[in-house]
Amino acid sequence: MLLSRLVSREVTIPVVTSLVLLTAWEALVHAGFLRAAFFPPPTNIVSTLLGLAVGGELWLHAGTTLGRLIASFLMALIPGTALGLAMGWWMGMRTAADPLVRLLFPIPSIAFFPVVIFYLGLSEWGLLLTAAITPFLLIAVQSASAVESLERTLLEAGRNYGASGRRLFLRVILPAALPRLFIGYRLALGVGFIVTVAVEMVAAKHGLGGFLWHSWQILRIEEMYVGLLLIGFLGILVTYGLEALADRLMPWQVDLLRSKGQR
Amino acid sequence: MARRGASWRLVVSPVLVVLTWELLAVAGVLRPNYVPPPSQLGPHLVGLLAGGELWRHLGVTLYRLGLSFVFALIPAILLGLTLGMSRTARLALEPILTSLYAVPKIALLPLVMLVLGVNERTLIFTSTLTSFVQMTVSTMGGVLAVDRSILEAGKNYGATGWRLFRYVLFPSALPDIFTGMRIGLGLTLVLVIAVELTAAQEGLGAFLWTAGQTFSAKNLFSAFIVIGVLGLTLTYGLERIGNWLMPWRERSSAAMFL
Repeated sequence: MLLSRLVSREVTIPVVTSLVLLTAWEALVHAGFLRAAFFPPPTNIVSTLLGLAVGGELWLHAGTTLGRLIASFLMALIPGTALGLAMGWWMGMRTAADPLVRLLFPIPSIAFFPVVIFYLGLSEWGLLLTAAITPFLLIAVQSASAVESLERTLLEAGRNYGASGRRLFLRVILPAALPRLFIGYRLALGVGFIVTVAVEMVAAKHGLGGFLWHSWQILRIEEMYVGLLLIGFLGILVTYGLEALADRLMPWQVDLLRSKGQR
Repeated sequence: MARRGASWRLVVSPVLVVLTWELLAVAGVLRPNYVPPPSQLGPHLVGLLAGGELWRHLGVTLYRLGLSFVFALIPAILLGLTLGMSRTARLALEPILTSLYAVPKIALLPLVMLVLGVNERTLIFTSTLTSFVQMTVSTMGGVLAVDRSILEAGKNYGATGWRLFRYVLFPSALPDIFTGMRIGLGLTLVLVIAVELTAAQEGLGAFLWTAGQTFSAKNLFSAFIVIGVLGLTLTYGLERIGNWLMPWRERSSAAMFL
């Protein structure tokens, strides 16, 4: 059983294609068709990666980026959810905040950066705040729509069974809204990651974005590829890791999370 | 639960914010050189527009955005449809596509600059890649998400091959393809602005960056407003066009942000 699953098309085709591409790359460089200055052979990249990992430099940059991502995400998550839930529940809050959120949300996230550092300077807070703004707005909008789209029957049933106030919120509203809240979190984390890397490239010494930009400027091409590889790895973790987590935490609403076109 | 109300509700709080901002400036709480009040910002923005400088930067940014989008459009839709319909193609190319999808495309900028040099082509290529990956993934997702019962119904009515594709599969996938175009355009705008901040002399991003570096608060806010209006127009304008073009698609507020 296990063996037949392992050699099924689902596994073999992707693995074989990737291996063929990597081998072709390696071979083309050695045969002189690809310039090693632009496309260093994969084996060189891996050995550079190992060298940097042993030296510890790699962990410093990866850790910095991960730390910034988590910090800015939390800065967006808590106020964003609170505001969104309030907007979904109270008409007054909706009237006050919804137009502002909708006005600010479509602004390209990175455009906030020069404005933020105009006031905060090129500080760690400037980076974190920039990376938190669009995720915050996204989470607020998504949380508001999560409450709006709750089924009324669910609420009525909850009320009829005597739940009200805090109990109604914790036992009925929150579990029902959670899958949609999670969609917001997942998208927000993705956006936050893009902005974090972009901001690091523009203005940071440490972090994977800074490392990537610096190694391009001094033309250490293997290191540049290592930076790219790690950013890709983190990106995959961010994009697909949270989805896997959601599947585990909320097995009751898996379909909604696998929304169309956004996989 | 709060429901969407009358349109006056949309204007109240922005107007209040602007009024408070102005009042704080008049009362001397906000310094005009630091946070320019709306009454000074308005004329300044009009002046910049009249002088033509801001239009030039806007034109450059729009040119880059439009060109990257157009280059990516047809190949992305063709590839997305192929990947959606052929399992073998999907299995073969998905690892590459998934990795590209997960990497912030701005991170590819140094690599592209290395190969193509630091020039306009680099910028356009990186932006095209952003649009391309997003639209391919959305198109593929759209095809995969087509309701099987609709396909069966089409087959039972005798549609096969091209007809099945043209009248059943494609219209069902079109809303997702369109969503992909909108998200693709949005992400590409972020990328174009980001690249302009780092590595360009012209364009709204470059103007914004220079304004910040030279401590010109009025220019900074003006550029920010123009970029904001551009983002708003793209997001809400395209949504309107989509609703008009595809009256059969479901309208959900959540889909706005996917």
